[in-house]
Amino acid sequence: VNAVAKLEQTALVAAARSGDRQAFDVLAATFVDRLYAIARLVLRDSDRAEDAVQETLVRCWRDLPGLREADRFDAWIRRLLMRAITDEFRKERRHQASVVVLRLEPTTSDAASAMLVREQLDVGFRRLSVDHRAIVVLRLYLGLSIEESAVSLGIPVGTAKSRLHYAVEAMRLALEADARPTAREVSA
Amino acid sequence: MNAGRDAQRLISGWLEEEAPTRAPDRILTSAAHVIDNTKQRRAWRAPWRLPMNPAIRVAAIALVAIVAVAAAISLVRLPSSSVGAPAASPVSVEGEWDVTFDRAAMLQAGLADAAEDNPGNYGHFTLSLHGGSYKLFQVTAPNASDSGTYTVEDGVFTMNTKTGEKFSYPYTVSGTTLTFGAGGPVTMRVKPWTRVGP
Repeated sequence: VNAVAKLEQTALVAAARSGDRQAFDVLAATFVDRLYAIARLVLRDSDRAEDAVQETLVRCWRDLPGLREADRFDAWIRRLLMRAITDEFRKERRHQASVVVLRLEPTTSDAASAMLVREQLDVGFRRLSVDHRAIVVLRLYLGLSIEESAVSLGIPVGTAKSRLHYAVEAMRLALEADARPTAREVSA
Repeated sequence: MNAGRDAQRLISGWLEEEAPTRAPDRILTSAAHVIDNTKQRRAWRAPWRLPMNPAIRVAAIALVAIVAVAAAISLVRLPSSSVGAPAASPVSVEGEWDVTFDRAAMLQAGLADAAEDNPGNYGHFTLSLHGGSYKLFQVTAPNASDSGTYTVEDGVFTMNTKTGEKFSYPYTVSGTTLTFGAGGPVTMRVKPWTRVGP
């Protein structure tokens, strides 16, 4: 972590916490790409990811005066995001179902195999609960430690470990399943 | 074990491929529009969260409370032509109270930490104390508000916020003023409050 950048961020957080809107806008612009990537990965839906991130930014502005330690902003905003993602996930689904037709074009066997693996991972991931998806993204995409992931989710470390184990195992089994779909039906 | 690690590597690579690199600009635009009409929540800051030995903190609060009670007793006894008369009953904190102060006065009162330097913590406030419930409202912008319950015991006013925080202040009521000593968020203790209604 760049120490200077960290200090600058801490100063921005302190200013935004005191109501400095410009400082907040800079912070939001710094974080929005990463927040959106996480939300998009967990929710598997662009529109809902946008809603979750927008809600996170609004809650961040509203509740920022309550953040006691500015240097813990990263973990704090991740936690806000996870709450917004969970809320979004639990909302009534906008679409009953959508059908995504795979385009298995003639290609090399390696490319087809890679596509199949991605497809199986996607199917396995979509079958996970939002809580399990979240720990997978925090740990295996962001590269957070299990302790940091637990803090971001507001759960005990043991629960985080258990969820990660279950989620990875479920996705591994999805990979092992020798089903080669030509089409799949997924809930939006 | 290895199968699990292989799966983790595979999942990690897949997530990297799947992750968008850039968020749509409309997220910031939409959020900014909502934020323009969103007030920041008032920051309640607890001085006792500053590094301080708990035993010293308790002793300090007790000392302040004793001094406050002694001062109150001496005030009651001042017109002591009535020595031997029944002790006056404590003046109730119940009622409507009002206070106005600016940022400079707030800073002079001493902040628990920098985050208390917030527009929601200075200006014109009303405090309603009735039946064990309090309502604090900032009349001036950004119109912060807070409510919860309170108890009064042995010269200590303890407020329990709806967010689960608890703040205790030594206090005195004299005539039409209510004064809070060191204890909780700065707003309560910058200046004495004036009674404006029962």
